[in-house]
Amino acid sequence: MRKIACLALIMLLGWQVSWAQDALVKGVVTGAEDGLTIPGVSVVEKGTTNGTTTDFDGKYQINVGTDAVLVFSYIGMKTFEVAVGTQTEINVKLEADNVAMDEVVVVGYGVQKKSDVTGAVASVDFEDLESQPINSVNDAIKGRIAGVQVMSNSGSPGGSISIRVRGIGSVNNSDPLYVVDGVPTSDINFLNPNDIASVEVLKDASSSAIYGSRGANGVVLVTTKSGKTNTSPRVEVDAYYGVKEVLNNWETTSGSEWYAIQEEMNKTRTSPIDLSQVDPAVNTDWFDEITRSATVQDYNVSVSGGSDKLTYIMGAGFYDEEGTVYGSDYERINARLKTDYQAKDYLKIGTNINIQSNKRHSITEGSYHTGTINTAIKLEPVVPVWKNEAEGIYDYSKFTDYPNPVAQIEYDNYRTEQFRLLGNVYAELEIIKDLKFKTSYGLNRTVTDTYNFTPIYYVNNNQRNDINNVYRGYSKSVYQTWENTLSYHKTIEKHDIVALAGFTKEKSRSEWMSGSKNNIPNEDEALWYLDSGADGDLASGSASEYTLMSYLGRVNYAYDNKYLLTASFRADGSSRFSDGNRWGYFPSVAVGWKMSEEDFLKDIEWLSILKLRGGWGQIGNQNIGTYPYQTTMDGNSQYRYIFGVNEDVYQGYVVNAMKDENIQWETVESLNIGFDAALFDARLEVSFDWFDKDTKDMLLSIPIPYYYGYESGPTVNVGEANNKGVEMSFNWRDQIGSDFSYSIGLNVSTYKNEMVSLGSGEPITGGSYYLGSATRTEEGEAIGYFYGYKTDGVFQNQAEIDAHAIQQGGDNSGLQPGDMKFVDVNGDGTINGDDRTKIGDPNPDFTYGINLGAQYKNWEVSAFFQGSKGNDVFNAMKTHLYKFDETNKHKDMLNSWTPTNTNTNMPRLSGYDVNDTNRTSDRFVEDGSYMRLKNLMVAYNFPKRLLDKVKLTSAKLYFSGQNLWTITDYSGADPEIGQVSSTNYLSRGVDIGTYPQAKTYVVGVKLGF
Amino acid sequence: MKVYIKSISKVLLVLASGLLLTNCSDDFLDQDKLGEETSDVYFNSQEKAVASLTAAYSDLKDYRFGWFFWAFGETLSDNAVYSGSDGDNAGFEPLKTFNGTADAFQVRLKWQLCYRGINKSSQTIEGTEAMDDELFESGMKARIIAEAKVLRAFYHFELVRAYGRIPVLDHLIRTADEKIGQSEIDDVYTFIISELEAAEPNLPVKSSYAASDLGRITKGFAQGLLAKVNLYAENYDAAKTWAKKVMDSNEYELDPDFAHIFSFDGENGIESVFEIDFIESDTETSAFRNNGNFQTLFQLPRNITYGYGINQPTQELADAFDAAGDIIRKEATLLTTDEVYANEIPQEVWDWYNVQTDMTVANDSLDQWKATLTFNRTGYYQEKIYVAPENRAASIRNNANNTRVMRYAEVLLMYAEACAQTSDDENARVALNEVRSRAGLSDVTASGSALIDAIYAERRLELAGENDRYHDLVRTNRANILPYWTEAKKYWPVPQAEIDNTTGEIIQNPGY
Repeated sequence: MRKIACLALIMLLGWQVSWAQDALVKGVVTGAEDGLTIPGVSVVEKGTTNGTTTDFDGKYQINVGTDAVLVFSYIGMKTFEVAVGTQTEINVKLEADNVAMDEVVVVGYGVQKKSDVTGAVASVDFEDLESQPINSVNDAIKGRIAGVQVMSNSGSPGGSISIRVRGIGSVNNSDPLYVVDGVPTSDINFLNPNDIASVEVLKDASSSAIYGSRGANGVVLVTTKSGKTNTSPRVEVDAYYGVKEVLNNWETTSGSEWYAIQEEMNKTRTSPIDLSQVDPAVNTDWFDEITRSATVQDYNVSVSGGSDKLTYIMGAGFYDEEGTVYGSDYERINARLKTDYQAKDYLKIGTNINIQSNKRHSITEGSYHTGTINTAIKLEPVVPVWKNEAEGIYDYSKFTDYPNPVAQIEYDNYRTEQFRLLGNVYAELEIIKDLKFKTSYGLNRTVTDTYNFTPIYYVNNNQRNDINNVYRGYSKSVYQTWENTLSYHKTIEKHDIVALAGFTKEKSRSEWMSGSKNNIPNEDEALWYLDSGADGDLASGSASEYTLMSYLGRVNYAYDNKYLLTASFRADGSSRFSDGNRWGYFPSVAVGWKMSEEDFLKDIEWLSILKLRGGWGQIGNQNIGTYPYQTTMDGNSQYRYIFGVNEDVYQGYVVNAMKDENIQWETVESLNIGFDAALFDARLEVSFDWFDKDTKDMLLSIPIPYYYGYESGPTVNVGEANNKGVEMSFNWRDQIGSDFSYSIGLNVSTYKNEMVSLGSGEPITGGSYYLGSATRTEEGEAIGYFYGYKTDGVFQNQAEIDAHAIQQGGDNSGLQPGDMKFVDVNGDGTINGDDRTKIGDPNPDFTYGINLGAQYKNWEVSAFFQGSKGNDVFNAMKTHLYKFDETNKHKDMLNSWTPTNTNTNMPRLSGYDVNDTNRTSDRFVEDGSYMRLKNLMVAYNFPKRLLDKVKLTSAKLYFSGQNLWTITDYSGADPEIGQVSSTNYLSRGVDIGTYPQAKTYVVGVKLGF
Repeated sequence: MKVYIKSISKVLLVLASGLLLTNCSDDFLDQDKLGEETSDVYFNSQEKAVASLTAAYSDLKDYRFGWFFWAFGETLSDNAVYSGSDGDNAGFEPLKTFNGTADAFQVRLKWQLCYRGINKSSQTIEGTEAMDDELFESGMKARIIAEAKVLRAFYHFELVRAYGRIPVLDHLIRTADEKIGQSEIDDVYTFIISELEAAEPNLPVKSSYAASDLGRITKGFAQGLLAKVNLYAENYDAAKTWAKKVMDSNEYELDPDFAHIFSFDGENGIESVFEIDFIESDTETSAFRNNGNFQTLFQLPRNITYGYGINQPTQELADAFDAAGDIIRKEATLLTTDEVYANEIPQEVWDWYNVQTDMTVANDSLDQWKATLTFNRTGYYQEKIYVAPENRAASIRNNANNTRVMRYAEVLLMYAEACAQTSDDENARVALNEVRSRAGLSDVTASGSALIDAIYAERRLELAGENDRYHDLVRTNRANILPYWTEAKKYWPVPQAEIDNTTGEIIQNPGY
């Protein structure tokens, strides 16, 4: 951050012209802490425009009169003033200023001093994260920003993540907009965290409205590292290597326990299962069989530096991660070059190019029938992995048709390879002083190749493939942006104005195609290409395009550095909407008051900064499909029919979905009020925000009568949702003596989410698992809350059954003591669908992050905790493990009700379950609260005298661990449950066998030359 | 203040602004949908009109349409029980005991699927009608519309005989605010008949279709359906006229070998008036992608094959065959448990068994094979849809056997019934006895109401397993022979979801 500001400052001051003065004063400016010289420090004669900056070696010289006062200032340092008097050499030591508010933060289409920000903008400085084995940018911001929830949908290497800024804005896509160095992208998982300088999140509408129709769910701005002016080339080498262990808490039965439970259920089954087919002594732990101890490694090298006009950074990285489940891994290679060049006094140009490629193997996830982890949890333990290991013949379940997951992994050869080019070139022209025109072209081009080969195999009739098949998929997406902005900055006495106006065009085009063939002559990997296949040719493909054209403007006005006003406006025209509905207008306004600058607070010693701020804005969400208004002909394979003597298949075409021509974007209107404060010499920083965010015109599919005959109704702008919440963060840092410093950080956030209106729509069900749907969205409740029956223990005797509302048949006659008791919620004497109610909520009461750090001499230690409180998880795996069927059973089943074991909530083992015991109910809802030691790090910085001998400027050795310790009551593998998949928006908190996170132990080094 | 560049910058500024302005045109925002045609430009060639029609046919092939074709047509009657696993059977129990509710998914799916077919037919009719005549080969425009009209009529017929009062959809709904209420039953039949009558002249007879068009709706099917619908509407004279047209067309004959009709070789044979065609498409095995007959999977014996053992024929039906002395049709309609064993237990096992001397061991081993047939509730399975192991598709939903919708034998029986109802006993007996004689049965000589009863009895035996029995019982006011059936439950409930989705235009049938 600091460096960008520095750069700007140097440029600014470089244009100042020196006047002839009375006497020449010179000196060197160094840092008080490290004694290193500081280039680029502003040295100004107070009250004049006479000034200069320190050079590469921290030296300056200036002509001043003897009565002059010199002001030394540098961002991040305390300003120092000294009277010149008769001195001709003035050496200055600048002290670090802990008031982080004077850093600059990146806001949309520009930067701003943090102390001038009026919206809710949070920032993560990646320098603070240097010694942590962070595998993605998402991972880095998890738990570190109040109000930003980062949920892993999977612990799989390269797996998807969902980020939610300030609650759930919509039942549709609530992903924020990601902007990497000015180029919008659909995700940021591909970035190398080592390349990142900072991540800013624009949380409220007043700050994100400059992104108009895409800012509704927040904006995540990623800024990559740059070189520094006037620095000699610096080479940095980082490397770490680590070992990962899977987290697993599933308490499933052993072979003999499973057998005993089945024997008991056989007594009541109408068709008992034939247990003679299995051996109770076999005790396969399927989860164990598919998991391994895995490795992760990361290597990065970069060279950066700069002259007074040119800065550059070049870097390359290699990252390789094995998954803790066999068959999953991820490899990433990054290379980048970023340069900025002051070509003329009035012209600056720059390029920023990122090249990235990755390879990923993944396992079957997101399926509640055949997901690999799902299967490994539910497959009975009496099935041996192998029937004949020497011959490679797998065994299989004798009772269910679930696949052998070990075989499934072996026969799955699916992999993706992705190549991405992301970058931009720009030119910035200073037309007249203070007025700059910048034009920038950005490109984000991604090619994704998918490969698959399905060999011939036979495990049993349900898990077999008789014809081998080779598959090849190719998708390409090109996103181009052209941004043109005019910016103007002027200070006239107490008035400070920054104005921005812009025009941008963006175009996206993506295309997908795939082909497959059958009957490859042999299964050698060298033949896994389409031409090897003999027949069964299949090809498909599709493409889509959209464009966006926008006008934007923003004014930041400050009076006397006390009163701040920010107003912005954006007009977006989007091709996604029909003519006449294309343009949307998104205004915002925010005010700030730096109270601590007022005279009545200036004298309060312990208060360094106090700023109140409030903002309002309107923003949009156009993430609603590419052609939502166009009625199209569908050529689904379902619409085929057979005609002719030769029984040829003909494709039919039809309109299967009604469309609303007048569809428009979702609009979010939000109000944000907060304050920032720095206390006790800025050792304590406090930030607080309250927000009220309304999503209007939410797109919902409205039900149409079946007699219309369409398969789905139109999507129309009828819904409304609200999120209200509070976010707080505290940071304390202090130094004790000269050798010891420490910091404590805490952030807490909470929100309340409510679906205000569904228009004419019916409640929406979601979160499907194999027995039904776990979530529901209806008016007056949180989006995607858990919905089902309430239970009330088990019936202890016939009298309790007789006294109970009718829950089975017409008269409860099928019930027996030991059966599950369901609650007659509406009290009508009958338990049916109307008694389903709210049984849980995946939204937390609050989430938090705790950051502890300390430094003693050359040692550093840090710990980062992250957690969630009050959120529920729907443990859909338990619906298998509790079911009266042949699948693996939960150890809880050993405590089932019997006439002699009555003190239990587990119903009797019933082989003929007329009670529908495992219907969606609160039995499967668990408290998903957790606190996790996300990272623990110990580092040693080698002392300078040692380094000098080997010509190193810095060297650090560190040990770090991730997810080392978790406190939770959740009984599944991992309480960090996101969505079932990245696009299954209403499946939050539903565990259908989530790929768990891993415990990782890492050793790493960082070297600087 | 220092100005660095003056005139140059101004020129640049003007250029830049000019560039911006020229780029600000809204054309940039016009993006066509790629890869899929939009509906407004679709209907522009004969091929595309035909492809639209193909989609209207495709709902016949949807497994859910087929499921409730037999589940209501056959299983609800005295011909069959639902069977399958305990769960399957219990799930259908409320319907079988005429205690079903408007929430039942079966009730919803039948309604939903028929209206989907109606919608697609209307898309074809309206899309094709709006096209220029020059875009078509001679007669094709009228034929495409006629096929679609018969389909639309057929889907309406499936609805009206099940639900009674239904909304009539004589056009495509294009905006979500249109409302259509239910029509009286007579009016629904009037609509169906007028649609069929409009289509009938424009349809080719079966023999004049090209070989590549086999399986399309023919003039014969339109006439046969007119006969059938008129029977339901009790317009016996009209029914008689239309059935006679089929008979006089010389397009159809009875197949001398009854069992042959239901073999693969008998598909679209001389007796076939309309069939739903299925094939085995071995690379496509999922329920919607495939082109096989899911109903075969439903009805094959359970566990000893991959089938679900659903829709098992009853002993009562077997008794009815016996009472009539009907050996040929019983043999071809009912697959007995012993036949299942004989077909499904591998020949090697039988060969081994037949040479054993220690029959205790041999029988024990054979019993284990037999035990793989589970949930055999009646001792019979549907033979008309049965596919023997050697012809059976490897993938479960992919059996290639067609579903027979209308056969010439039914046309003869409809003619007989219409004649008998209009006191033309002589012609009635001739048609009836033609059907009986193929089944190896002696002529009926009865007249009056006895003759009508004989025709009803004949319909049951001839068409058992062909999904008409329940509707026949209701149509002929004999459904009260079914346990639990009441006049109040003569029609099924309107799906509750439909009432919930609408704003008052759809009301529940009386009795629910």
